[in-house]
Order: sequence, then C-alpha cells, then structure tokens
Amino acid sequence: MQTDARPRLTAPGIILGIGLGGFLDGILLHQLLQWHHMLTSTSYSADTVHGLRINTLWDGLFHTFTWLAVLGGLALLYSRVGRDRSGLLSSRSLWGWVLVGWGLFNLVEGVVDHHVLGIHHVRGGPHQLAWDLGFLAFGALLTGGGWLLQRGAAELREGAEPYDAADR
Amino acid sequence: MTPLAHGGHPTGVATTLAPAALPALLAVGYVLAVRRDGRGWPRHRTAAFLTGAALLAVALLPPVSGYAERSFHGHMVQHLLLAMLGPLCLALGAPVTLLLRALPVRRARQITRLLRGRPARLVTHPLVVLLLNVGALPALYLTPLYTATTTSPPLHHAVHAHFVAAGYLFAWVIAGPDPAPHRPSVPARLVMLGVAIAVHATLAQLIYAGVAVHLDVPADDRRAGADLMYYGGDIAELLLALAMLTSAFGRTVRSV
Repeated sequence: MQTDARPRLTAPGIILGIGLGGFLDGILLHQLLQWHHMLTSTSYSADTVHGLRINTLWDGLFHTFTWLAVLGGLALLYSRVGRDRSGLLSSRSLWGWVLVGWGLFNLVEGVVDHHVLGIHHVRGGPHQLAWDLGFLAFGALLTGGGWLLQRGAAELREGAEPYDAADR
Repeated sequence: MTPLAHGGHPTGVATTLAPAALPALLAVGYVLAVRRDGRGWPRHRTAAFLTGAALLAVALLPPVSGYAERSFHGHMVQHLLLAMLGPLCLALGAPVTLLLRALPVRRARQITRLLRGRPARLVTHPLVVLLLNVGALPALYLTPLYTATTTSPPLHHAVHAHFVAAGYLFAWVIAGPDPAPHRPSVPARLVMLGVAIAVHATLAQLIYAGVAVHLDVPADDRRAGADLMYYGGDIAELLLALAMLTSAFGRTVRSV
C-alpha cells in the first residue's frame, strides 16, 4: 500500500533523531566546548565541587536518556522494517524524520530547559538570550528541512526508491 | 621502564617499529587478497580495513605508546584506538568474507565449518561476548591488574592483545558485516550494546571520581583519562550502532 509506506518510519526516525541530536548537544556543547552543563544556571554552578558533582549526575541522566533514545529508535526501526529493508538507508523518508527528531530535540529542550525552567543556557553571559533563540531557530530549521525532505520522498515514491515503493 | 641495551641504530629502529609489524602484515595480506579477487571487491571495505590497521599501528608506535607509558590519559588514547576504533574499522573491512572469496573452495568450506561449529557458537554467545569485552574493564581498573601491567611487559602485551581481540569480537558480532552463523538477533544485539555502554560509562565515572578503582596515578591525569573514556567511548559506540544499522538494514556483501 502506498499510503502506509511513509508513516511507518515516522516514529523510529524521530526517536533516533532526538537521540542523535542529544548526543551532539552532549558531546559538542557540554564536553568539547564546555559552554554549559545541565544545571549551570541554577545555584549548582560548575565552579564548586558540589555543584560539579550534581551537574555530573544530571549530565549522566541526560546521557542515559540520549542512549535510550538511540537504541530505542533502532529497535523500533527494526521492528517496523524487519527483513524488508532494501534501500532503507538511502530512503529520504528515514533521514527526513531523523532531522525532524533532531530539530524537535532542540525546540523542546530549548523551550523547557532554557526558557521555562531556565536551568541552563546555550552559552551563559550577556548575550545568552541571543544564543538561546539561535538554538531554537536552528531547531526550527532542522524540523522544517526534515519535513520537506520526507515529503519529497513521498513524491519520488514511484519506482525511484525501493523502500518507499508500493510493494513494501 | 629502562630501555633495553642495544648496539647500533638499526636495532633501535627495528625495536621501535616492531610493534607495528603485525598490523602492517594484516594490511599487506588484505591488499594481496583484494588484488586476487576478480569480482570487484568494494573499495570502502578496503579503506575501512586499512584505516583499522593504521589505527592499531599508530596506537603501538612510540608517539602514542610512549605517551601511554607516561600517563593514564595516554593509556586511554591507546585503549580507545586498540579496543574500540581500530577493531571496528577492521571488522567493517569484512576480512573473513574476503578470505572466503580468495581461498580455494575446499579451504573456504573448512572455515565456514569452523564458523558454524560449537566453539564459534560459544564465543559469539551474548554473555560470553560481553564478559570478554566489557567484563575485562572492571578486571583491569578495579583490581591491581592495571598497576601490574605498568611494570610487567608480558602482562602489558597480553592486555593489549586482549583489547584488540575482544574489541574485534564485539564489533564483528554486533555490526558484521562478516558472516557469523550464530550471531544474536538485532534486538539482542541492541541490548548487548546497551549493557556495554552502561558498564563503560559507569566505569569511566568511577575512575573520574576515584571510587573503588586501583589506580596509582595523579588525580588530574586520572580525571583526564576518565573524561576521554566517557566521551571517546560514546563516539566509538555510536559509530558501532550506526555500523550495525548499515549491516542489519543495508545490503550484505556476497561471500562465496
């Protein structure tokens, strides 16, 4: 059926994208650039030993969450696709939904952690609002781009891409 | 460690380069087999295998091995290359498939029989794979074993050999692409990966905090090593998960 070829990849793609987006945030922003940790804008700053300990714990929980999202996304993908998988990895639909997931991670994490709870900012300091808004804009861009990509897959479906083809 | 007494420069160069001989030999053997293969061996497989051999060689040559003798952070650099990144690249080169294609049919059948046999079934059992791979980590860092390896060269080499072998076994079972007749199912492999990640990350945290570990190294050095283990391990495991995605969902190489 042509109609159910697409939605099957939505959930696994988004979950995988959320996990991968979290990884990029965790490795790039927390570790390599050290711009922020989970709670650096609260009373637990990263400048005291106790604060650093609590931040390490929360970074650990965040780490667990991102891994569960990646492994869970892969498991769901496998359960949806099973052995029927040729062309899956080059399917625009999957990578489009992964981008949507990554963008959603930025949007939700940005709104909840940076703006509503205010527990940390992308880069604390005089221009923190600009950084936080940029983070949201990047998330919106990823979500929109991913959406367009997977929609393009729907139009190309006939014959061009085996995974999205009607016989799947 | 005191350097071994030796005469002229040639011996010095030979001793310095000796550890890289094995990876170099593997690379040469692989390239020869690729050249014999008339059916067009995929280039990305060759690239992966040669990258893996190069990573092992880099880990064993003096700039890195000397650094590893001086610091715990250096040991972690070596650990990541020998146990995680190097073996993953080697496994992605599908050396067994290449061997099966290069050998005469009778020999190839013997190897296939070996892969289907009982010992292979035991070694690729999820619990055994995990025990050999991440089980070795607590044994190394939570006991006096690590300190012992810094004074005993044979033990030091044995640990390195174990790193490479266990890392290769893990990458092969989880991500293929070589045949493994008793390979666990994809859901089982995801659970194995999850357990390995959890043990690896927890140990990195324990080392960072200096809790329960037997490490006779300065605190700063210990933390730097733990940090590298934590985040470097993440990157290597993420690559492994993506490699599994391509082998579990992508097309497989035709063997014989």
